Amino acid sequence: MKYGYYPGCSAKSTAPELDATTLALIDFLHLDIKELKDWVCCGASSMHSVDKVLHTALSVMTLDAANAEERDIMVQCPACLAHVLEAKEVLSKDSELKSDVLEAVGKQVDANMKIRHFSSILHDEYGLDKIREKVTNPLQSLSIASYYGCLIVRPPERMQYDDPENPMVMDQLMSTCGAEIVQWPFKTKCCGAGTAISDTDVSLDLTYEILRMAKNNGAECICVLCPLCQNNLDLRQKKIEQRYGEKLNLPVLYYTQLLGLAFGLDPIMLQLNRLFVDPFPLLKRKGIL
Amino acid sequence: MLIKIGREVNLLAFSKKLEKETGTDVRKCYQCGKCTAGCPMNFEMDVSPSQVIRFCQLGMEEKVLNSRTIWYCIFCDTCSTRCPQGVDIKGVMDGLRRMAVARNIKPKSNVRFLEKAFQSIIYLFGRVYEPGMVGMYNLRSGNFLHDVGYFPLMLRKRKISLKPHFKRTREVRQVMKRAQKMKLRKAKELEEAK
Repeated sequence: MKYGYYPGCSAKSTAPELDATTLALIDFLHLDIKELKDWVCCGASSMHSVDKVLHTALSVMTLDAANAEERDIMVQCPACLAHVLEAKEVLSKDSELKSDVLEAVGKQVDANMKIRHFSSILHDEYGLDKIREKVTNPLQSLSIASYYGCLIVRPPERMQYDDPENPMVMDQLMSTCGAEIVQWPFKTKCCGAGTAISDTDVSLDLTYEILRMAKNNGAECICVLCPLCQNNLDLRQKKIEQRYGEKLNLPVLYYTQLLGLAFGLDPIMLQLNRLFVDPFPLLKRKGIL
Repeated sequence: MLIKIGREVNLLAFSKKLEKETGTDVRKCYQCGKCTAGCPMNFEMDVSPSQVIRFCQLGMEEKVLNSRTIWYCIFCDTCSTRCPQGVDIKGVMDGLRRMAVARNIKPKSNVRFLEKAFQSIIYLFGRVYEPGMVGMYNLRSGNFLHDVGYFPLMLRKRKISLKPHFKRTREVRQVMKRAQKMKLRKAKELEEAK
């Protein structure tokens, strides 16, 4: 296991707690993962509608950065993961697109590396049993709804993550940490983060449905892995409460933060204070903090 | 026996063009409507996703390129994943959007401004810089105060910084320029072939 960490732009700006907790977990579990020096933006949710060649070329630049360091790629952001996997797919067989992309990049790039999401690495490669041994502060009686969002599971043949309708990776990680798992139907429903800036009202509608469904199924907090979902569910929750006249008060934590809590890491290091919906009252009530 | 319905349309031409652009064959669709049923954005659309595919089968290019639908797809991929015929509906939406842009059809949503702002930011810095992106979007779209209220809050939580990250900007710019040139060259070749 020798990975280069590709955090993505969000982890370096609007989701610093995801970046910090990932590094904390890597350190705590002694994994051989370190950040790639020369990663660039993957083109995110808009570049593919602008120019297919350019969109793929940007991800190829990141693949090239991993080749230079002779490491596989560990990704945290689902959008980045989808795009580097797509780039790998394009490079794996000859096509007009491939030659165009390589012409744009200006050099030959091979794509033989493995590309995986951090949660898959923890779940399959590090293993749930070893995680269970490390748990010193179980998340007992905390009801967690795992929310995966759309990009991590779809398209399933490319992402190879888990079932596209009912993924269980995060649920299993959380139950290993002693939490109660909420079974709910909106695990992979889109939160509309792609429209959060251009059509805010639309994304508020979608986000409200997700939060309400989690709440109605008995969730006390939501566990996420996507920085855009987190921002959409957390930052805009107050506005949603005002708009629909309903008190939700559902903290939205990254799975890395929850794992860190279960491993007994310092809450300051886990940067829980950076969340907009305050998780401290809930965690104190449950005796986790 | 050849039956003529109304005016003569070359049904195949548009499907073929789409297949070249997106790699998916819309003629496989048998209109079960599963994509429309599962689409989280269907309440914002004027033509449902399954109807878009039907119009594509019928070669009704103008109808689909001028629809609201192609601008309101958020590429969550629920449709393509669930399609029993393996039609990549999301890919078709994406391809139609690129076709509409190439033909300078006016976008039906502000998302195009965001795409442009995003592209400029990547050109400038090589990585996303949110305050700059939202600022540029606001200038382009004319909603000058959009999301500005979140700015102090996010700054306090240090979720955005005032300083952008620069990374491999020279290389990124070269790649963007080469891709742009290639696009223009291809458009010209296509024009000449006609």
